[in-house]
Amino acid sequence: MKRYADPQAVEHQLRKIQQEISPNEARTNLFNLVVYVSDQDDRLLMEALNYLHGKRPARVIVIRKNHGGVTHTDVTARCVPDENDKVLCIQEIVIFSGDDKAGEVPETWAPLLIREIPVFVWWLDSLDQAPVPQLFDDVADRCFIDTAFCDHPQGFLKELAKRSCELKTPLSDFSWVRIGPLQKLAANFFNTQEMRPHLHNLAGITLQGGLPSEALLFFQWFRVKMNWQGESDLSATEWHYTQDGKPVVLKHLAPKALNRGFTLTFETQDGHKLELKDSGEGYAKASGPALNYSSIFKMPTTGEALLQEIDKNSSDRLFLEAVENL
Amino acid sequence: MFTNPLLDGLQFAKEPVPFIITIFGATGDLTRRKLIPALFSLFLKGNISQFKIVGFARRTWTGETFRDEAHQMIAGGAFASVPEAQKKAFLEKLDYVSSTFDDPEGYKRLAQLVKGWEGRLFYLSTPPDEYEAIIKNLGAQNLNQSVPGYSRIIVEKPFGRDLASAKELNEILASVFDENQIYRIDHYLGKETVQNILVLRFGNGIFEPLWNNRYIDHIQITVAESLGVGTRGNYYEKSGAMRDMVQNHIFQLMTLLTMEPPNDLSPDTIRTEKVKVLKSLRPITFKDVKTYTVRGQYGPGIVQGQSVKGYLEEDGVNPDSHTETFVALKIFLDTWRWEGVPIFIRTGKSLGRRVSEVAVSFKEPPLHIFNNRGSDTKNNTLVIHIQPEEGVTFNVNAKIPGYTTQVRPVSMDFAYGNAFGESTPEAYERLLLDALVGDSTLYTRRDEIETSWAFITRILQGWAEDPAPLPQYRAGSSGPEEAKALLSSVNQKWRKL
Repeated sequence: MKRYADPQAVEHQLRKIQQEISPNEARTNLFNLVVYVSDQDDRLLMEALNYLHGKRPARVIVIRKNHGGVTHTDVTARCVPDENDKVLCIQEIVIFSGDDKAGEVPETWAPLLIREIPVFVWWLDSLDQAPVPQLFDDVADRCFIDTAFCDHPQGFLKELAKRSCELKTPLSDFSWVRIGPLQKLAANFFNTQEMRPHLHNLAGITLQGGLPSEALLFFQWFRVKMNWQGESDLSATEWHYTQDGKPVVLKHLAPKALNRGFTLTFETQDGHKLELKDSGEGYAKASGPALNYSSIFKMPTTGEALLQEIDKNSSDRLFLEAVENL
Repeated sequence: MFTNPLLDGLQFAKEPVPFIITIFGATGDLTRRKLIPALFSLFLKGNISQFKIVGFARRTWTGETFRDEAHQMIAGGAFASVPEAQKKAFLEKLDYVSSTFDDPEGYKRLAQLVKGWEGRLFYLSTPPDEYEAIIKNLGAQNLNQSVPGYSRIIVEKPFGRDLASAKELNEILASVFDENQIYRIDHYLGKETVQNILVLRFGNGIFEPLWNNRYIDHIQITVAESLGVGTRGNYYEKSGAMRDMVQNHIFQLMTLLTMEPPNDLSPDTIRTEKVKVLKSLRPITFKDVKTYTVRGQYGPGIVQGQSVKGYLEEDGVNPDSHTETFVALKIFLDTWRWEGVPIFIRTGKSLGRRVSEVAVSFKEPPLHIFNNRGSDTKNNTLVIHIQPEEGVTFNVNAKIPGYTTQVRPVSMDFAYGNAFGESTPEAYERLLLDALVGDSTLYTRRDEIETSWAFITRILQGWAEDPAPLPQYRAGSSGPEEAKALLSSVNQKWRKL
């Protein structure tokens, strides 16, 4: 019989490490975070954990996929004292999943979870053929994914929507989290009495920049909110809908990460052109007829997105609405 | 009328319409320390985007001077690492009107700037004796008109110094603005922990059944400051601890803690419940003042390891002053729920530690089966910490590991800073945003102000009749000895500072 991770030994080691770092009392862990990450690319994970450090005490179990060799476990902790000299720790248990892939099944890591606090599973790897979230239904309170790691985000989300009744674990998509500031920018842009008529008279929207998953979710949100009619095309970078019988065309051009700049152009049925453009300096410029102002635009980093989702109780209602209507 | 369906369901739905905010007294300390940083922070978080900030003050600044000054206000601290381009984008929205507060010409210039903005917010950050001129001039220029959009006014404390002056100020305001346009600010209500009192009470099923005289023994509310009056001696001489802290901040805490459950979270529902609490305060009459209140003045002493002056030696203080720097009260609410539960309040300057907290002390178990075994059981206490660290502690009794049944109190701790990581937003951010979107829940209504002043004024009049010198307490201590006697009725002590 093989033993991949001994819960008692892990607890003992963690206590010892924390004592060595600081003899002071440690703050209670608030949640478990289980991260599935490719052994070859952990850049985003490291960035997120660095951001989390000192903000939330937590137990993080990292499953390093495709490590090769024999599955084994390593334990470490990073702690920082708060203003009352109590320490905030991130306890890290790393499971290197070997050739037998034993580290990837929940049975291996579930005994290492702290009970009575939430369990978040973060799938930080390709979503094609990924067992998310069904594999984690019994152990996770929520799953985090990023449809940017998907060859066909629309197909993946459509499939997810079909199975939504059988799945018990709420899901969050970091592509959705990243478009939050863009949604806000657009919602505010059309919020004045002068601008609202334009919103109900749009002939087209063009998004230059943004990843395909981000463009898809942004347009889908916009379409659902405006109740535009029509079928989405699975492979498209262009979507055709109608509003009160008039055509509305949505286009995604020049795909690239949203934080590398974007231009969002709105065209109205009567030929007005309205624009929201990333200045590249932390704010966006809004322009149009008799309109010119700047507004803060900041994309959340992976760490910020993770923290934002951890602090929520459930999936975003708007995300579910957008996905269900794909 | 076109709607904006895009806003539906967004977490940041509290987006104000394009607005212009005029800060009267813009060259003052409040603007520097709180208002501009709060507005900049709202801008950085993307809560506000289409707006203009107009400083209005006597000093002969230009728009450029105001922008330069504001640049300094957002230069350091939390904003040190904010890119200059974002600061520039914010500063572009600033303008300035140089005028005295009673000069109609200044208001005519303001009216030009205000024209075309959907929302118009006026912030009175001046000494109270300027309020009347500002309010009347705003009225004279029709800047109080809410069509189109809205016109609102925020009034800073002190809101009167007794019932008569509070009523007078309310009358002046009411002559120009409707009550639903008036936002009386008490920054305590903007603090997360204060708002958390409602969530703790009404968002958890466990507390409300116990929240009454059957299970609660007494309540202690403490707002202790370690600093003395410093350079504010002149102001404090006219105010004192009762006016400065009790009538506003502490009564806000007390009403949130003791109000009946509201039917909903609408501003008027909550404020109506708070007013009911204030109306149920058992009056402290002339003859009762000495039984239910204790005043004190700090003498020389040692605070935080440093020797400090007594109050009477502070700059701007009358050497024969009768102004209290400490006050302790024992009050009762004549309601079904709270009958017989004393609420102890204390606040003071130059005390041993800066602490703001509410402690709800529950009754002891009916039978003390553990007390004869060398045990030290204590009343269960729920402590809501407001300053310096925001959080909640619940003290329970637990068995000490071993062969005997020894019991000792332990605490269950929840600290905001650690549970939610990043610091809580500044109170002024929340309050300004609420005023911009027309949510007056965390602002004080006219009847709330007048009812609390009615109770306080009676005590102030009782004190005014008493010529005896005030009890002294050593700076750095827990207050005057006389305050301890207030708790003798419940056989308890004040909580340690």
